[in-house]
Amino acid sequence: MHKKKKAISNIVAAIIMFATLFSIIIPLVFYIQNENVLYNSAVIERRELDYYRSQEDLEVHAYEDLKDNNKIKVEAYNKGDISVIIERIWIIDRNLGLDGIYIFENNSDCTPDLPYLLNPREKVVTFDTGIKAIVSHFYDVKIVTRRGNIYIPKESPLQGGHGGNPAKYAYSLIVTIVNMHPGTTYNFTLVGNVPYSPYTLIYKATASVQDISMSFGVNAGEYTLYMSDGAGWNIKETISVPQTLAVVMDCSLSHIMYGLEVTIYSYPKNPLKINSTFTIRAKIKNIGYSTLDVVAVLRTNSTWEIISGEEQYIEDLQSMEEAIVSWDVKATTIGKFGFWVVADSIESNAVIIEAKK
Amino acid sequence: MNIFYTYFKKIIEIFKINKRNKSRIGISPVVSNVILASTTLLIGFIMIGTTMNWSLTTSMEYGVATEKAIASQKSNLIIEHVQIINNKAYIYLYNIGRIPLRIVCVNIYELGEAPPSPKYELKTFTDGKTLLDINDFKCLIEDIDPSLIGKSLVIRVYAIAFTIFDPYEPAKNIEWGIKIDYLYNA
Repeated sequence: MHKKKKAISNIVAAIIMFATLFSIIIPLVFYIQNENVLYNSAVIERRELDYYRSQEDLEVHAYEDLKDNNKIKVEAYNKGDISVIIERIWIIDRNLGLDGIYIFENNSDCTPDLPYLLNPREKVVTFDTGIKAIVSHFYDVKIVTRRGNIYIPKESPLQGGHGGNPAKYAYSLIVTIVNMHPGTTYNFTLVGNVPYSPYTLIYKATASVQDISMSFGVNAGEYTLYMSDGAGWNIKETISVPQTLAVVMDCSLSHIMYGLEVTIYSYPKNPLKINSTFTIRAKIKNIGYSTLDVVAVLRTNSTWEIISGEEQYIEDLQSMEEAIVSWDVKATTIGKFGFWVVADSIESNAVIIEAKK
Repeated sequence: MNIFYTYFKKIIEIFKINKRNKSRIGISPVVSNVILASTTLLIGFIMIGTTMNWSLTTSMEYGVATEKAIASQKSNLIIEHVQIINNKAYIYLYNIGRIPLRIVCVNIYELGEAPPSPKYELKTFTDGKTLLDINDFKCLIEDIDPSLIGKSLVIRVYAIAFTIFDPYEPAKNIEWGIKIDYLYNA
């Protein structure tokens, strides 16, 4: 019998190779995979945070409440699809330096307390900061959310003594640019120490339009206009807008802060039997930015008896909130009569109700 | 013992045979196998050692790089407000990231000018601490060159995650840090 020769070295080499593979290479691959998973999860978490941050959508307003000791109030409405936590509210009095910085956050004097959770399309919340606006002082207002978005109300900076912010840009600053190169995009940035808008304008010159005039809304003060073509060519001009006569007509108080919609939405089917009792309901919606106490009155050209009394009171009607008020009326005489509701001098539509035998 | 004796005898016989006919007979298969296996083992151990060393180094480097990359992903910061009073800038910072941060540089320069090269050093907040924890909101005071007062400025803040910050070398790992700008209108 011929004995089969064994290649020991081959077996040893194979054992070493497998030992290396299983004890070193494969654990290393697993380790790298694990590290990659950790990194990827961090990237995904960051993307999620950035995405949610970009989805926040608040509408914010600031005003000086002329009915409440000239206190600065801030309103917020979540018109986005995700909940938002309001972390901090800033009120900065430009005239008082460091002493004029009021930051409202945990355990501050702001009502309601902060942080405040605002659910999507929930009712408008009004923050009472308790700060009394001083006449002619400018107040910057900022709202910071937990995800890091900063919202600045379009009324900011508020001017003390004005309620809303009617005189935001009293003047127009017209800038004329000539001899632009066709095809070149020019950036114009206006920087000033008083409110102005817009901050930046971009214009691309064409072969037919190489000279233009553009307008910035400004207030009296010093400005610097920066112009660049994006390829390294820069120019700046200092401009002084003088304090001359400007006419400002303020419509903010009547249309923004206080506004009601009054409609009669329910009344009985005509005709009624005499001496029967019926109900008229009206819907009153606060379309302004301020919380209101409303007195609603039912008016009529009849002598019918209004059992529940002519006046109905609605307290603390929040911005964008609706209230239903109703009146019970007894038809005491035969005939056709008109009914309508008046709330804070706003009249509803009129309805005609007829009573027969 | 018997096995050793048998092998010893066989080796003596080999030498005797070799003495008789040197040209015809080489070393036995057993010896050649032993030599070959030993050499294989030796080379194998060297290979295992080298591979293990490479594997450890690679995994450590990879782990450190991943930790830095993760820290960078978790770092996020906003400048909420800047107030400039008496040649000092009061910079209000809010950590919206998922990791505590340290501020290593604040650069303040005029809008439209080239930014100065950053000098890295650990910054202290007004509460005397150097750490800006997650969801923390703190103020930092920075001196300003008087020639910049009254101008529109860019405030640039460099921050780095506390896990990869080296107190003896603040500039280390700065490429994994974050840089945020704030435009201050005079």
